[in-house]
Amino acid sequence: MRRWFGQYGGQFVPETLIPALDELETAYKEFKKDKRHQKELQTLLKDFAGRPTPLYCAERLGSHLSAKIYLKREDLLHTGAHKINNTLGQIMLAKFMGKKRIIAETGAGQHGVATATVSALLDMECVVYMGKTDVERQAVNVDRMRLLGTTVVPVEKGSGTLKSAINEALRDWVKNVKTTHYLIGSVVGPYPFPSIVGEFQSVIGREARAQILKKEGYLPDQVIACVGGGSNAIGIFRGFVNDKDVSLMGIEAGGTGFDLGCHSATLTKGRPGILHGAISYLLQDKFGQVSDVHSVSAGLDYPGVGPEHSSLKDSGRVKYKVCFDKEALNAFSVLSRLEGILPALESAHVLGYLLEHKETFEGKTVIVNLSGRGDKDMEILKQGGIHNG
Amino acid sequence: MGKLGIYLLVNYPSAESFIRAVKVCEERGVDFLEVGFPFSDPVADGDLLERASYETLKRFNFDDFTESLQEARRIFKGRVYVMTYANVVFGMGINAFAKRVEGITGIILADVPLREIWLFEKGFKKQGINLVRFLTPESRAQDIEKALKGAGDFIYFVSKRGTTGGDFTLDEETIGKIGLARGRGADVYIGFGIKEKKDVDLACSVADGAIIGTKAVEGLEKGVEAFEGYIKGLRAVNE
Ligand SMILES: Cc1ncc(COP(=O)(O)O)c(C=O)c1O
Repeated sequence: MRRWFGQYGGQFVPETLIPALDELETAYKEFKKDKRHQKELQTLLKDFAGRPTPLYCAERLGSHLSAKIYLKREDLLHTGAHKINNTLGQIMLAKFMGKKRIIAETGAGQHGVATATVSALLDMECVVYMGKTDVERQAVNVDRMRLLGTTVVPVEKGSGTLKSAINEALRDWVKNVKTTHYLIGSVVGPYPFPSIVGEFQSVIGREARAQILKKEGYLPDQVIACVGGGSNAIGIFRGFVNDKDVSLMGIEAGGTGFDLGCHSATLTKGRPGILHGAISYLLQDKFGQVSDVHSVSAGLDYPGVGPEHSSLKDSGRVKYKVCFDKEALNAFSVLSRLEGILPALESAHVLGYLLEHKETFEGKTVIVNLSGRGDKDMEILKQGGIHNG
Repeated sequence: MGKLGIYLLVNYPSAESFIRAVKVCEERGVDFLEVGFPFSDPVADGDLLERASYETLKRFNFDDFTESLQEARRIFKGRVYVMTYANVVFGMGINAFAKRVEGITGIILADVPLREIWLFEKGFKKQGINLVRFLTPESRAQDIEKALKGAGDFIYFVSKRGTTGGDFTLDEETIGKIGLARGRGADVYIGFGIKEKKDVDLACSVADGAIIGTKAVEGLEKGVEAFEGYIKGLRAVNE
């Protein structure tokens, strides 16, 4: 497992948490070797979550784009997004460690719902922190979590989005570190979280690679995913990162434009900084204060990004591009109408980029990581006027 | 007699009352000052200091902070430390930051644990500034070893699992850990949750000093007179 991705990563947290991070690292290594637990995890991923997810050839979208488009259907997983790959893994790991209580942060609510769901399944006490703005714009997911027996704590302080939720979860963890596992929902945070979450999500890329080889007999030209904290992207990239001819692309949220505070395009517009435990690209002012960010999609509305992405950007292995709110909203309706699939607004950023840059992808075989489904986004879409568009 | 350290958030509740509070600390025999530089995401802070940080950031920037810091140093003859978060230093450049706070005794970074000190140490050493080491109730033998190595004039013992503010207690195991570090010749000051005379007394009975943060800032929110009364009460205990 990698503590550093080039110059990015590390463990920038209060000293109190260091023994817990060490304990987590040791436990994870044992958990990985433990055949019984690994088998149980595989069974749950299959029978409870619904893996493997299909690799679907989206023909109508493809002909619209003059390309061959495959969708990796993480949206079909139980609870509606790739997040459950990680929550199943980490909650089993927490049980393995003898922890009784799970805390998590959530932005879009997808990680929160996945955490609440698996906590119910594996009988863990669960508390989810969620920014107040997100509680409002992803209300359906708040109801789902509560129905599942989870305590949802709205965070009013700070930005009221994902960043504040992580701050509050970290505070809880420092206080309750003896009994509690902090289930981070993306490839962010101090080591070993970026590595652990990356490994739990890498099932996406492993499956996709085998599936495309089976269907087409060749590797794709392009693999593309949206980047919030970066877990669905790392998950699918891991399957192809050693295939030099496969081009990898990550799409960040351009929000309403490139003025500071209007977007959350961390890798495109940020510079190295330290937030939530790791050195990574960060949107910040010249004095190191973290910037306000915006995205129509709560899951991408975050000023930081996982350290592995920072390193992949610097090495040039992955290209990071931007899709704006409007383009993502438009892509939502395009996919709905052409393919009968309502994508999560996060995933719609990838489709928005494809639609806006058709010429780049003409004649190519492209795998899109469709990280989640859009049911949770109805409120936002109604406000955006898409429902009757 | 143990040392008494007071934490004040720079320019809070106002630039003027911050400076007046520094004068009070000088006049009332406070041993050292910790000047907090606010950060947008203060994960080690409880509610009061978090809110105070946001308010301060709305009204002032780094240039104002360093100006008040240097003013505080002119008034206060004892040791002055700056307490902040990793990115306030890293985001502006470690060397550049260290130059801007030159003259202080040490820097305390709430989210920089012992194993990541390497990143910051060189830049501060060049300015003769110590990087203060933390120990906590969770610290293991190897952590105590590590803290002792290269420690400056004191080790900051975080009294509890949790954020600033809240209640002050010390369990036997924690007292044992403090004793272990002191036995090796280090001065250990205890902070987090210390409020009243009796807390200061307790801290100073097992360690070399006590640091008061939240309660001091809360006192100053009520006005400089209230703050002065509060500090007077604390010192009386030790004198
Ligand atoms: C469907 C979906 N996709 C993507 C993301 C962004 O997270 P990450 O970049 O970690 O995949 C989220 C986060 O909430 C999500 O719900």
